[in-house]
Amino acid sequence: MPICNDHDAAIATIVDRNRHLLLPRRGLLGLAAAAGMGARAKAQTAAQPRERRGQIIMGLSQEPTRFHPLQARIEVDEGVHLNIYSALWGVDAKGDLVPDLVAELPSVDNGGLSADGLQWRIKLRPGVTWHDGAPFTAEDVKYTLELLQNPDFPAASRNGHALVRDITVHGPTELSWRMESFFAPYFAILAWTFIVPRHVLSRLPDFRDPAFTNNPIGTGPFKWGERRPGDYIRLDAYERYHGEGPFVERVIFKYIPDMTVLKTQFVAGAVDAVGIAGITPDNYAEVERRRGLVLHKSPTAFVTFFALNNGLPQFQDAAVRKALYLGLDRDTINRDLFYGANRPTESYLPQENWAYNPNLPKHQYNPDGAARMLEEAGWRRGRDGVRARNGVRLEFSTSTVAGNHLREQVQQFLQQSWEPLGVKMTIQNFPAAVMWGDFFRLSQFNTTIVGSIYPIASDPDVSDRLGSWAIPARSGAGANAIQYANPEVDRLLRESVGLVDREARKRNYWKVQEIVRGDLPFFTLHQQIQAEGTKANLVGYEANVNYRTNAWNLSKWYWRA
Amino acid sequence: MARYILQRLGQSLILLWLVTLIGFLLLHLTPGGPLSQFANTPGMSDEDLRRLAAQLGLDRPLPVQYLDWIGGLLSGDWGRSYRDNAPVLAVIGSRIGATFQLMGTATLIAVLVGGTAGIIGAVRRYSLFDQMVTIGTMIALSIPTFWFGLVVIYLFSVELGWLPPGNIGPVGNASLLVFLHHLIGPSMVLGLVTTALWSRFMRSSMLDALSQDYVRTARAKGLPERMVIGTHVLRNALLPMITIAGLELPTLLGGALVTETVFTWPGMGRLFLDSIEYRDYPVVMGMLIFAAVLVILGSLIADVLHTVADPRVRLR
Repeated sequence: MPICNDHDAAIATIVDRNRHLLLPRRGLLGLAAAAGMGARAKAQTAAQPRERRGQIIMGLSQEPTRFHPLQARIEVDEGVHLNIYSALWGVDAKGDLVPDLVAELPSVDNGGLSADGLQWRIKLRPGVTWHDGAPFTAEDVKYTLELLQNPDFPAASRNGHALVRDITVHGPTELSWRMESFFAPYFAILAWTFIVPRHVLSRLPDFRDPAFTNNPIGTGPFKWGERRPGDYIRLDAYERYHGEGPFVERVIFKYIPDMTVLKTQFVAGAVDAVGIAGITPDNYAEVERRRGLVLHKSPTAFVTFFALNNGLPQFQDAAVRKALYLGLDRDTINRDLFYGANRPTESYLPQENWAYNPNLPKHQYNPDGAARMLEEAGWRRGRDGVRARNGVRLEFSTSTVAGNHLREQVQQFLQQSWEPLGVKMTIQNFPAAVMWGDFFRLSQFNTTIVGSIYPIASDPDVSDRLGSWAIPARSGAGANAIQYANPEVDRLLRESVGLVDREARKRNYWKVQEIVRGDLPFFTLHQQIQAEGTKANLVGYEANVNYRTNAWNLSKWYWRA
Repeated sequence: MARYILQRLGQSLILLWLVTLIGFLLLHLTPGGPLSQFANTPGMSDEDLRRLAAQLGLDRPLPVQYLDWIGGLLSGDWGRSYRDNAPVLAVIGSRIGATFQLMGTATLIAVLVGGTAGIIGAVRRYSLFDQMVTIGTMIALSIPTFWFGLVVIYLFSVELGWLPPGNIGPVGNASLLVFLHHLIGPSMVLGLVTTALWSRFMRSSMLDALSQDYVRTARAKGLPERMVIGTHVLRNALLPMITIAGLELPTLLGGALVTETVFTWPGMGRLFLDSIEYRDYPVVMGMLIFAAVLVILGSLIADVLHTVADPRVRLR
């Protein structure tokens, strides 16, 4: 659980203070999107085929290998999970929560949630069955939530789940639980939490027993077909799926490790769709030229940062951080090095997030202003041209994954851009396994170029990334490897996770973004746009920044006749 | 002979132990680890990662981890892949077939085409054929496999539509003809390089044998040229080729990383690269042991075959 004790205590106080906000009105907690979704779903159904036809081969440059949805995984695994398993609710492309295994989203209105947000009562959709034919019941949900709290179970994360208490089953389709303290991001966390079958897993006392992961059973639109390691995974349509679709007989996730080969196989017609990691910008033109292929340039929740290790003395001075940002020619980097493929941003949140603040000051490139700022702050040039103040030289290294050519070019460009300012930056790159190991986690880097997703599903809580209590090198918890610490941001983050009113949370998160933009613990280069491809007569692709893969809605894809 | 083989196998055990020790230390002392891929996963915090490391036993002292692993190895348990959560032997077993099919075909092409070209080139030294083969082999050895593979896909798959653009076969269609159709592209690409190599080896070996006194003697005896080449030259020229073939065994089962990548062939080469990339320690160690065993067996088989081909050689 990444929330420390004083954090929990703070949440309790905040919830207590905000009881008056727990008004039973529609839209509270952002859970009232179902009506609108129903209309959209109906409109889609009209165009969809009446019977299943064909198959979809989706090429991926990473191989899905982890099929237990509650254990550690990477984004490519989630594409498989989203199609085999179901969560209580999902997140649509607009960021609204939509019912999946639940009959209705819990709200104060329908009695699913108490006014203080602590008591939850969940009504499940009746008639749902597991892929092996067994009925899905409230016992499965209870088992899943309890499994996540089991200290022996290798859960990927217990964030939020550790607050759940007294899970009680009231019948096959109804259960309730109590939250130790209200935790607003839990709605989004549950959208990423897939329910697992109790009748299968409870018979496997050894959590590492591969019997389940070799033959996963879920309630999703596709059931497990077969896996040929290093080659493909085949999922077959589940005839008794409780939702819309699927409209194809099977989906095949084909592993093609090299992105050039992936593009070539797409152009050659061997794959019907290109998923993670998409098509590289230098190949856009070739794909767009081909008839019968469609290139989808879709926003992702990944933001590319030039991140500083804020624990280092040279970055303690705000003038240094501001001068470096002024001396960074972001437009040229995005236009000439990234082929103009991405979206410049000032925030760590994707622009599709409901708490994204569009009013942050825009970056300006002004190297003369940067030099002046450093001079005024007392950073004087030494004999070698490198500035220093009070014995601290304006010298640091930068690191990223060796072989990431675009990022390596950015490093060289910045090295040359900052040198005239009296800043010496050396380049020290590592393989991914080294870069993202202790070196990054325990803040052993000076600066780095990194692409990260800060929100969890559609929730803008970034406590684990920006809270000062979440610096692993100091507390052994969290994911704030950049060692950012600002008491006001801490206060706002702690307060926000206990707020039930979405508008109040939004105001807080806007403020957090303003402060972070002013503090500049990192320089946001852009929000990443991923180009994926589908054959022109394959319908249904819809980008969704709230998932880490756009294979989230394969059940709705179909071949145009 | 039996004593010699037993002696060699005994020495091999010491060698294998050294391989495990050095491999294990190098792998684990390299910075980074299998959990680094999750460091940037939303919702996963440092304490989640430390908890997972403890559950995998990665937080224990290195000597304890080694003893645990080698103990498992001796009892037939090669460990379990971190990525696949499957036994290492099963992971290797799932890839070795594809590699053997590809490498076997490429080697067969190389031995037949390259060997024949090398023999003819040596017998007709400096002829137009010999010069053409020499130029051809130089070109083949100079072409980057990755580029050549993509050219083959573009030409024969994208433009002409004659060959499938990679893969071991379409999902659900395991017929022999379809498989062979998919095998043509990658084996052609891989076979080109190995053919060039074998043709050079064979030519050199033949030329060496052709210049021997016993060949001159055979010709002086009035033996027909076909017999001189077939019986006296070729048999002797094949001796060094046996050694090369023996040392090819690890390559035959070790996979061809570049060709497997370009043609999305699910073989051992790609497994090794993926396992290194994800720091899948048990699989990397498993493949290391496997490769070491193949090298030892390959050279042992070559030595034994040498005695069969050359009566002058006696193993003691």
